[in-house]
Amino acid sequence: MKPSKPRYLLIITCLLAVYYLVCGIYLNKLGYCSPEALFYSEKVRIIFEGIGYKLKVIGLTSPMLPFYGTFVFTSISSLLAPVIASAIGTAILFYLIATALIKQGLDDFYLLILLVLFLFHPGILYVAGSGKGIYLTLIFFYMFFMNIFKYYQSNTTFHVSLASICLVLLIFCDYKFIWLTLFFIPLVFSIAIHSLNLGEKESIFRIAISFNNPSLRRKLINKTFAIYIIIFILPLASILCYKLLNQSNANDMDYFNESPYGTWTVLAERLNYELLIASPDFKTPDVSLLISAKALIICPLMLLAVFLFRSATYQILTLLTPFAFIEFLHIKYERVSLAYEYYLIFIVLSLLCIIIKAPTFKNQVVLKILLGTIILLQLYTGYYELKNSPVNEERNFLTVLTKRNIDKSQDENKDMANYINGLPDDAKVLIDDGIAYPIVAFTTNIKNLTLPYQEGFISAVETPWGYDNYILLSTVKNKVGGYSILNPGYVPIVNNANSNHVKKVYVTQNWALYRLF
Amino acid sequence: MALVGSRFELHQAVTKAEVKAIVDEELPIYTIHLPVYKEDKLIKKLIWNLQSLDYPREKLDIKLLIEEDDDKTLNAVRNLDFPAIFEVIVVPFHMPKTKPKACNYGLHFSRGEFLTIYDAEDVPDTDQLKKVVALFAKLPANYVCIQSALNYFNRNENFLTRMFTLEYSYWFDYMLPGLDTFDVPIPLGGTSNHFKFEFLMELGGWDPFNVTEDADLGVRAYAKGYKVAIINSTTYEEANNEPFNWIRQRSRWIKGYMQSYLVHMRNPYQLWKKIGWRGFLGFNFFIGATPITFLVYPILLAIFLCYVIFDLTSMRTFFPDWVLFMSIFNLMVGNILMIYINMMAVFKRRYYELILFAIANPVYWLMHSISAYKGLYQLVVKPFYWEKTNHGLSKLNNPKNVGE
Repeated sequence: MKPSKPRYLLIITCLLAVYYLVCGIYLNKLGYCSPEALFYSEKVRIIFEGIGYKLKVIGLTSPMLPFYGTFVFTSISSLLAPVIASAIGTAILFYLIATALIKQGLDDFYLLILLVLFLFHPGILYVAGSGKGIYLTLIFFYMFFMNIFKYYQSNTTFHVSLASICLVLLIFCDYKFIWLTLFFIPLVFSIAIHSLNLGEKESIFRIAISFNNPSLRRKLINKTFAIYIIIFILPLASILCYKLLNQSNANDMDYFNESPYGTWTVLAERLNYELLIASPDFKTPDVSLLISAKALIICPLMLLAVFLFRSATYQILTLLTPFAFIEFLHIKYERVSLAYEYYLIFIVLSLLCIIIKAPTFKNQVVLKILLGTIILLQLYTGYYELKNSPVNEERNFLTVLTKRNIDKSQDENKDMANYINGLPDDAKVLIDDGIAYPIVAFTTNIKNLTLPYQEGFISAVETPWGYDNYILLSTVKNKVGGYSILNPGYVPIVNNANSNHVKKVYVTQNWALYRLF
Repeated sequence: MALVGSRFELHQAVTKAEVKAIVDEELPIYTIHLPVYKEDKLIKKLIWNLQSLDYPREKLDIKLLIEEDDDKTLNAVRNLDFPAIFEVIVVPFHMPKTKPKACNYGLHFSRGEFLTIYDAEDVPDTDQLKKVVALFAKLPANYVCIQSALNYFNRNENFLTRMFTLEYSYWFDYMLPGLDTFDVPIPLGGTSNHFKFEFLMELGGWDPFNVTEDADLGVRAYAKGYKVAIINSTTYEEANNEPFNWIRQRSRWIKGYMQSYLVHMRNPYQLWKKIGWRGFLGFNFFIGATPITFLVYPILLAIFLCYVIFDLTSMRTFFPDWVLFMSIFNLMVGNILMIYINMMAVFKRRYYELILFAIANPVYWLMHSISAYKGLYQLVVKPFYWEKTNHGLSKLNNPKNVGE
């Protein structure tokens, strides 16, 4: 019996997941570990192996959903769990897009194109093999826009509320997407204008008629406001709740977004900026409009999507919102290089547009030639831009992927972790995992570590000899040492406070382990 | 559940084309029960509303059920020149004096293949009966009841009517279709439930002692393996616009839920065997937990407010941090979701002006709690007493307001 199309799709998805897993695990064996994956590994280990008050770690570690996504695979290996999650998650993204493609009745050529993209696009491979949470961002971004487009067609509350739920999930994958809500204001107005029962077709005249008639004006305002509330009240209220939870449990509303204990991005972005300005081939940051141009270079498919929707006003406006969003991110976070993730959203968005519009395109042969050519071009531009990414970690990924060299960026952390692993079983080590989370992730016994989530941490910092035998401090060369109290300035303080003294027992470039006597 | 229910709007149970295709000559006789008690002011309006139904007159069998001791309504009826399809039935004086008892009495005189109940102030969609006939024809034989959505024509009258509209929109447009999809017993609404007459007789009619007889009947039908469907047709009622009247009505409903729960849970194991785990859980969540939630809501809210305002650190002795964390999370997320679902429901009905009123739900729930305590008190002292709701208080009696 010949398997049905959905069954084929399931088999392809499983094979794709295996392919991603092999890539991810191989890269991991070559030494590639993203800071995000290490951060999740460390937090997950605290939850499952740590001793003490772990509620804050469970509830306030951010981004929340990618963190929870790694939970399932922790039993296999805490270090590989994020990689497994991202590999399987990316395969699920493929399945979602491919299912929509089949439902639209598109032929196998489109599926092949999609498969080629998911097999060879360096950006997609980065999503799948890096252990980062981008896969969830892309999934929910895709689902959000899919439901928005479905709402345009069906005008039902079901789709608009699903879009809202997807937006909530998206924000809990990446907080920066909260700003996307800003750029929907004109769009929502446009939707409301078009939904009014008027004979006039031209938008500008519809606006004029609506504003000059009190009844229509009231209707327009009510509807605009209602749509905006239905889409955005849930994300905004969720964030408010989450902030209140942060306030009640960490005495800081923005703990999840600004504390290095709550999220990995604080240190990663700072470190990247330091590396970027210290780099000999330092390039000036992108100028505002060039960000959009770069998005189009990475994803030329977006041009085809805009072309397909050329006669639909608010669909075009919808497609423009992510451009406005990334331009805004560039202005708001001026010291942060825009990560590749924010360009990848255009790939899933353009795929969605093609899935929606391709069946109605008359000349399928021309469309297929165009699509095939653009996809090939996109594979190259994706590779080129990742290779020249301002983010060190992204360039590093591509280098390891293409050259299959051993990645030594985490060697120092592994060395220190190995030394700690070799200490006597009863030796206690004081570590601040705000900056030293990679070392904690590589250690074998987390129970012997005194970490900030434990209630005794502050006391241990004040009088370490009463609690621990060793202290891990950052060295002066450590670029993020300033984020922790356990920095080089800590040693004289301890020596002055007590006749006991400390002795350096193991040193790397960024870390120094002291023994307390 | 509500989200699943909201999928109901993606397809219409009965389309306009299907209604148009119905041949009038082939339609069956349809019985309509109109149990009225002290509704002398509304009787004219009631007749007017039913006259506008799109159904062959000769095939309507309308029973006006009037209690023997209700002189006012009887006199009002005597002064009216009824169309022949109306038949007045005087229900003999006998306890309990409840609506289900009157309806059970009316069953003996009913001739229709299908039967429905409307309240005195109801304004059903004109094509509702035809839609029901069309849907019954499409559904398998084990579907014995079809519930129409209920909503209000006087929704913008005051705060209470707005909140009531929010609640009904959510319940009938989202929750009931959701329960239906999940195949959970559906607590039928008070009116506009359309039955196949023979099956209604087989079920033994309504429980005359139960003050939410329809919710009880929904569970009994489910236990016999019969199913209830939801239809895309609305009956517009008059929302209670007076707080004390509202509390009276709500206390009866909550008391009825308590009654139904106690009756069916006399032997939980037997109930579980009869309706299965899905039905059992659904029954406990939607019939049993409803009054309990309203009873504990003010107590928990008071404890929480005291904790926040007076900073009761001693509370931490009883509730560890993780319990507080989870509780605050549940409080916020639960409230927000309920408010959001209410917003969705009125958004679907295009009542955009009501959306922001959903935020006032926590206050509205306090009124439910007052009613729940009243209902609990009555359950003990007057378990079968029918707390009468006064109708005709609205200034908007014009059916033209419907569907605006």
